[in-house]
Amino acid sequence: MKIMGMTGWSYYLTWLMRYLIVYVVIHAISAFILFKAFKVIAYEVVLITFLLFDLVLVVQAFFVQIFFTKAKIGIIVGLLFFCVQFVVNFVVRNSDNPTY
Amino acid sequence: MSPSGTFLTELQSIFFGFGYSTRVFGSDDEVNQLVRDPSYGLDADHLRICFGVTVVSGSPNYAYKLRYNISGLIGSNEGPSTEDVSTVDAFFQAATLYRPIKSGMLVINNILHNLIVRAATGDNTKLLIPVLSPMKQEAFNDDPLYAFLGNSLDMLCLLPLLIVYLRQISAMLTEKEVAVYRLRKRCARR
Repeated sequence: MKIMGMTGWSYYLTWLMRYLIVYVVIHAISAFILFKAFKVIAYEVVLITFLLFDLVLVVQAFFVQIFFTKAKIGIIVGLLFFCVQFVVNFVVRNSDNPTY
Repeated sequence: MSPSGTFLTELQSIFFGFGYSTRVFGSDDEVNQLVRDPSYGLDADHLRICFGVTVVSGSPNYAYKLRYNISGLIGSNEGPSTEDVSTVDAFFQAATLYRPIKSGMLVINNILHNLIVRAATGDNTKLLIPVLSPMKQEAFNDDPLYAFLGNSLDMLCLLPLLIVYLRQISAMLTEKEVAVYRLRKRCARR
Protein backbone atom coordinates (compact mmCIF):
# COMPACT_ATOMS: atom_id res chain seq x y z
CA MET A 1 0.00 0.00 0.00
CA LYS A 2 2.97 2.24 0.47
CA ILE A 3 3.69 1.74 -3.22
CA MET A 4 0.21 3.07 -3.94
CA GLY A 5 1.04 6.20 -1.94
CA MET A 6 -0.61 5.48 1.38
CA THR A 7 1.20 7.04 4.32
CA GLY A 8 1.89 5.12 7.53
CA TRP A 9 -0.29 7.54 9.52
CA SER A 10 -3.41 6.97 7.44
CA TYR A 11 -2.83 3.21 7.41
CA TYR A 12 -2.60 2.94 11.18
CA LEU A 13 -5.33 5.53 11.74
CA THR A 14 -7.83 3.49 9.74
CA TRP A 15 -7.07 0.37 11.77
CA LEU A 16 -7.27 2.38 14.98
CA MET A 17 -10.63 3.89 14.04
CA ARG A 18 -12.06 0.61 12.86
CA TYR A 19 -11.24 -1.32 16.03
CA LEU A 20 -11.93 1.60 18.33
CA ILE A 21 -15.49 1.67 17.00
CA VAL A 22 -15.82 -2.04 17.83
CA TYR A 23 -14.44 -1.47 21.33
CA VAL A 24 -16.64 1.58 21.91
CA VAL A 25 -19.77 -0.41 21.06
CA ILE A 26 -18.77 -3.30 23.32
CA HIS A 27 -17.76 -1.09 26.21
CA ALA A 28 -20.65 1.34 25.97
CA ILE A 29 -22.86 -1.67 26.73
CA SER A 30 -20.63 -3.29 29.37
CA ALA A 31 -20.01 0.05 31.11
CA PHE A 32 -23.77 0.55 31.25
CA ILE A 33 -24.21 -2.88 32.86
CA LEU A 34 -21.48 -2.13 35.42
CA PHE A 35 -22.92 1.33 36.03
CA LYS A 36 -26.28 -0.25 36.84
CA ALA A 37 -24.66 -2.89 39.06
CA PHE A 38 -22.40 -0.48 40.99
CA LYS A 39 -24.52 2.61 41.46
CA VAL A 40 -21.84 4.64 43.23
CA ILE A 41 -19.56 4.92 40.22
CA ALA A 42 -20.25 7.29 37.31
CA TYR A 43 -20.91 5.87 33.83
CA GLU A 44 -18.27 8.11 32.22
CA VAL A 45 -15.59 6.88 34.64
CA VAL A 46 -16.22 3.23 33.76
CA LEU A 47 -16.40 3.97 30.04
CA ILE A 48 -13.20 6.02 29.97
CA THR A 49 -11.35 3.38 32.00
CA PHE A 50 -12.39 0.73 29.49
CA LEU A 51 -11.57 2.91 26.50
CA LEU A 52 -8.07 3.64 27.80
CA PHE A 53 -7.46 -0.09 28.07
CA ASP A 54 -8.88 -0.54 24.55
CA LEU A 55 -6.41 2.01 23.20
CA VAL A 56 -3.62 0.01 24.80
CA LEU A 57 -4.90 -3.18 23.14
CA VAL A 58 -5.08 -1.56 19.70
CA VAL A 59 -1.56 -0.18 20.01
CA GLN A 60 -0.34 -3.53 21.34
CA ALA A 61 -1.79 -5.23 18.26
CA PHE A 62 0.11 -2.70 16.09
CA PHE A 63 3.26 -3.60 17.98
CA VAL A 64 2.85 -7.37 17.64
CA GLN A 65 1.98 -7.39 13.92
CA ILE A 66 5.17 -5.51 13.02
CA PHE A 67 7.36 -8.57 13.67
CA PHE A 68 5.42 -11.08 11.55
CA THR A 69 4.16 -11.66 8.04
CA LYS A 70 2.24 -14.87 8.78
CA ALA A 71 -1.17 -14.42 10.44
CA LYS A 72 -1.13 -17.73 12.33
CA ILE A 73 2.22 -17.10 14.01
CA GLY A 74 1.21 -13.54 14.78
CA ILE A 75 -1.98 -14.69 16.49
CA ILE A 76 -0.13 -17.24 18.63
CA VAL A 77 2.54 -14.76 19.70
CA GLY A 78 -0.10 -12.07 20.33
CA LEU A 79 -2.05 -14.48 22.50
CA LEU A 80 1.07 -15.46 24.45
CA PHE A 81 2.04 -11.80 24.86
CA PHE A 82 -1.41 -11.01 26.24
CA CYS A 83 -1.37 -14.02 28.59
CA VAL A 84 2.14 -13.26 29.87
CA GLN A 85 1.05 -9.72 30.74
CA PHE A 86 -2.01 -11.09 32.48
CA VAL A 87 0.06 -13.54 34.52
CA VAL A 88 2.57 -10.82 35.45
CA ASN A 89 -0.30 -8.61 36.56
CA PHE A 90 -1.75 -11.48 38.58
CA VAL A 91 1.57 -12.21 40.30
CA VAL A 92 2.51 -8.60 41.03
CA ARG A 93 -0.99 -7.59 42.12
CA ASN A 94 -1.21 -6.31 45.68
CA SER A 95 -4.65 -6.96 47.13
CA ASP A 96 -4.11 -4.27 49.79
CA ASN A 97 -4.14 -1.63 47.11
CA PRO A 98 -7.56 -1.66 45.44
CA THR A 99 -6.53 0.87 42.78
CA TYR A 100 -3.86 -1.40 41.37
CA MET B 1 -26.91 31.06 72.61
CA SER B 2 -29.39 32.36 70.15
CA PRO B 3 -31.98 34.74 71.62
CA SER B 4 -34.75 33.09 69.61
CA GLY B 5 -35.24 30.32 72.21
CA THR B 6 -38.27 30.55 74.44
CA PHE B 7 -36.54 28.86 77.38
CA LEU B 8 -33.45 31.01 77.24
CA THR B 9 -33.91 32.78 80.59
CA GLU B 10 -34.47 29.51 82.44
CA LEU B 11 -31.43 27.98 80.79
CA GLN B 12 -29.30 30.95 81.79
CA SER B 13 -30.42 30.70 85.41
CA ILE B 14 -29.69 26.93 85.48
CA PHE B 15 -26.19 27.45 84.11
CA PHE B 16 -25.67 30.31 86.56
CA GLY B 17 -26.64 27.87 89.34
CA PHE B 18 -23.90 25.49 88.10
CA GLY B 19 -21.40 28.34 88.37
CA TYR B 20 -21.13 29.21 84.67
CA SER B 21 -21.35 32.76 83.42
CA THR B 22 -23.50 32.99 80.30
CA ARG B 23 -23.55 35.25 77.31
CA VAL B 24 -26.15 35.62 74.58
CA PHE B 25 -25.08 35.78 70.94
CA GLY B 26 -27.26 36.79 68.03
CA SER B 27 -26.07 33.96 65.77
CA ASP B 28 -23.45 31.26 65.28
CA ASP B 29 -21.44 33.69 63.18
CA GLU B 30 -20.97 35.99 66.17
CA VAL B 31 -19.57 33.04 68.15
CA ASN B 32 -17.24 32.13 65.29
CA GLN B 33 -16.12 35.74 65.05
CA LEU B 34 -15.30 35.83 68.76
CA VAL B 35 -13.42 32.55 68.66
CA ARG B 36 -11.32 33.70 65.70
CA ASP B 37 -10.52 37.05 67.30
CA PRO B 38 -6.77 37.47 67.98
CA SER B 39 -7.48 38.59 71.53
CA TYR B 40 -9.75 35.57 72.25
CA GLY B 41 -9.17 34.38 75.81
CA LEU B 42 -6.80 37.25 76.56
CA ASP B 43 -9.05 39.96 78.00
CA ALA B 44 -12.37 40.32 79.79
CA ASP B 45 -14.30 41.15 76.60
CA HIS B 46 -13.08 37.98 74.88
CA LEU B 47 -13.55 35.31 77.52
CA ARG B 48 -13.06 31.70 76.51
CA ILE B 49 -16.19 29.72 75.73
CA CYS B 50 -16.63 26.34 77.42
CA PHE B 51 -19.71 25.30 75.52
CA GLY B 52 -22.67 26.84 73.76
CA VAL B 53 -26.28 26.05 72.99
CA THR B 54 -27.68 27.23 69.68
CA VAL B 55 -31.44 27.25 69.60
CA VAL B 56 -32.19 26.58 65.95
CA SER B 57 -35.98 26.77 66.19
CA GLY B 58 -38.55 27.26 68.91
CA SER B 59 -42.16 26.11 69.27
CA PRO B 60 -43.62 23.89 67.88
CA ASN B 61 -40.59 22.21 66.24
CA TYR B 62 -37.86 22.60 68.81
CA ALA B 63 -34.34 22.12 67.58
CA TYR B 64 -30.99 22.96 69.10
CA LYS B 65 -27.29 22.41 68.60
CA LEU B 66 -24.63 21.91 71.23
CA ARG B 67 -21.21 23.42 70.65
CA TYR B 68 -18.23 22.31 72.70
CA ASN B 69 -14.81 23.78 73.04
CA ILE B 70 -12.73 20.71 72.25
CA SER B 71 -9.34 22.47 72.06
CA GLY B 72 -6.65 20.01 73.02
CA LEU B 73 -9.02 17.06 72.86
CA ILE B 74 -8.85 16.35 69.15
CA GLY B 75 -8.57 12.63 68.56
CA SER B 76 -9.64 11.70 72.06
CA ASN B 77 -13.10 10.66 70.88
CA GLU B 78 -11.85 8.23 68.26
CA GLY B 79 -12.96 4.65 68.55
CA PRO B 80 -10.75 1.58 68.33
CA SER B 81 -9.05 0.89 65.03
CA THR B 82 -10.77 -1.78 63.00
CA GLU B 83 -8.25 -1.87 60.18
CA ASP B 84 -5.50 -4.08 61.57
CA VAL B 85 -7.21 -6.53 63.88
CA SER B 86 -10.69 -7.85 63.33
CA THR B 87 -12.84 -6.80 66.24
CA VAL B 88 -14.28 -9.28 68.70
CA ASP B 89 -17.45 -9.30 70.69
CA ALA B 90 -16.50 -6.96 73.54
CA PHE B 91 -17.64 -7.15 77.14
CA PHE B 92 -19.58 -4.31 78.67
CA GLN B 93 -17.26 -1.37 79.10
CA ALA B 94 -18.41 1.02 81.79
CA ALA B 95 -15.81 3.63 80.81
CA THR B 96 -17.31 3.98 77.35
CA LEU B 97 -20.78 4.39 78.79
CA TYR B 98 -19.79 6.91 81.44
CA ARG B 99 -17.67 9.09 79.16
CA PRO B 100 -20.58 11.13 77.73
CA ILE B 101 -22.05 11.50 81.24
CA LYS B 102 -18.80 12.70 82.77
CA SER B 103 -18.16 15.13 79.94
CA GLY B 104 -21.46 16.83 80.79
CA MET B 105 -22.95 16.29 77.34
CA LEU B 106 -25.86 14.19 78.54
CA VAL B 107 -26.50 16.57 81.47
CA ILE B 108 -26.97 19.53 79.12
CA ASN B 109 -29.02 17.36 76.81
CA ASN B 110 -31.27 16.35 79.67
CA ILE B 111 -31.68 19.92 80.91
CA LEU B 112 -32.63 21.10 77.43
CA HIS B 113 -35.09 18.26 76.88
CA ASN B 114 -36.74 19.01 80.21
CA LEU B 115 -37.00 22.69 79.35
CA ILE B 116 -38.46 21.90 75.95
CA VAL B 117 -41.05 19.56 77.45
CA ARG B 118 -42.03 22.15 80.01
CA ALA B 119 -42.22 24.91 77.37
CA ALA B 120 -44.22 22.72 75.01
CA THR B 121 -46.70 21.46 77.61
CA GLY B 122 -46.85 24.63 79.71
CA ASP B 123 -46.46 22.48 82.83
CA ASN B 124 -43.49 23.39 85.02
CA THR B 125 -43.72 20.19 87.04
CA LYS B 126 -43.00 17.89 84.08
CA LEU B 127 -39.82 15.92 84.50
CA LEU B 128 -37.94 13.67 82.11
CA ILE B 129 -35.83 11.07 83.87
CA PRO B 130 -33.16 9.70 81.57
CA VAL B 131 -32.34 6.02 81.68
CA LEU B 132 -29.03 4.85 80.33
CA SER B 133 -28.61 1.34 79.08
CA PRO B 134 -25.83 -0.20 77.03
CA MET B 135 -26.79 -1.29 73.54
CA LYS B 136 -25.10 -4.24 71.95
CA GLN B 137 -24.19 -4.09 68.32
CA GLU B 138 -22.62 -6.52 65.94
CA ALA B 139 -18.84 -6.58 65.96
CA PHE B 140 -17.16 -5.37 62.80
CA ASN B 141 -15.55 -8.10 60.74
CA ASP B 142 -13.48 -7.35 57.72
CA ASP B 143 -14.99 -9.32 54.88
CA PRO B 144 -12.71 -9.53 51.84
CA LEU B 145 -15.26 -11.47 49.77
CA TYR B 146 -15.91 -8.61 47.33
CA ALA B 147 -12.18 -8.03 46.85
CA PHE B 148 -11.70 -11.73 46.01
CA LEU B 149 -14.69 -11.68 43.68
CA GLY B 150 -13.45 -8.51 42.00
CA ASN B 151 -10.01 -10.02 41.46
CA SER B 152 -11.55 -13.08 39.82
CA LEU B 153 -14.18 -11.26 37.80
CA ASP B 154 -11.77 -8.88 36.07
CA MET B 155 -10.66 -11.92 34.07
CA LEU B 156 -14.19 -12.14 32.68
CA CYS B 157 -13.97 -8.50 31.64
CA LEU B 158 -10.58 -8.88 29.97
CA LEU B 159 -10.80 -12.24 28.23
CA PRO B 160 -13.58 -11.30 25.76
CA LEU B 161 -11.36 -8.46 24.58
CA LEU B 162 -8.85 -11.07 23.53
CA ILE B 163 -11.15 -11.96 20.64
CA VAL B 164 -11.16 -8.42 19.25
CA TYR B 165 -7.44 -8.03 19.92
CA LEU B 166 -6.51 -11.26 18.11
CA ARG B 167 -8.92 -10.49 15.33
CA GLN B 168 -7.18 -7.19 14.76
CA ILE B 169 -3.76 -8.87 14.64
CA SER B 170 -5.15 -11.51 12.30
CA ALA B 171 -6.76 -8.96 9.98
CA MET B 172 -3.66 -6.79 9.79
CA LEU B 173 -1.35 -9.74 9.20
CA THR B 174 -3.65 -11.33 6.64
CA GLU B 175 -3.64 -8.06 4.72
CA LYS B 176 0.13 -7.99 4.98
CA GLU B 177 0.34 -11.62 3.94
CA VAL B 178 -1.78 -10.98 0.84
CA ALA B 179 0.27 -7.90 -0.03
CA VAL B 180 3.53 -9.82 0.33
CA TYR B 181 2.12 -12.70 -1.75
CA ARG B 182 1.04 -10.35 -4.55
CA LEU B 183 4.37 -8.58 -4.50
CA ARG B 184 6.23 -11.88 -4.78
CA LYS B 185 3.94 -12.94 -7.62
CA ARG B 186 4.64 -9.73 -9.50
CA CYS B 187 8.35 -10.09 -8.94
CA ALA B 188 8.20 -13.69 -10.22
CA ARG B 189 6.41 -12.58 -13.40
CA ARG B 190 9.08 -10.00 -14.14
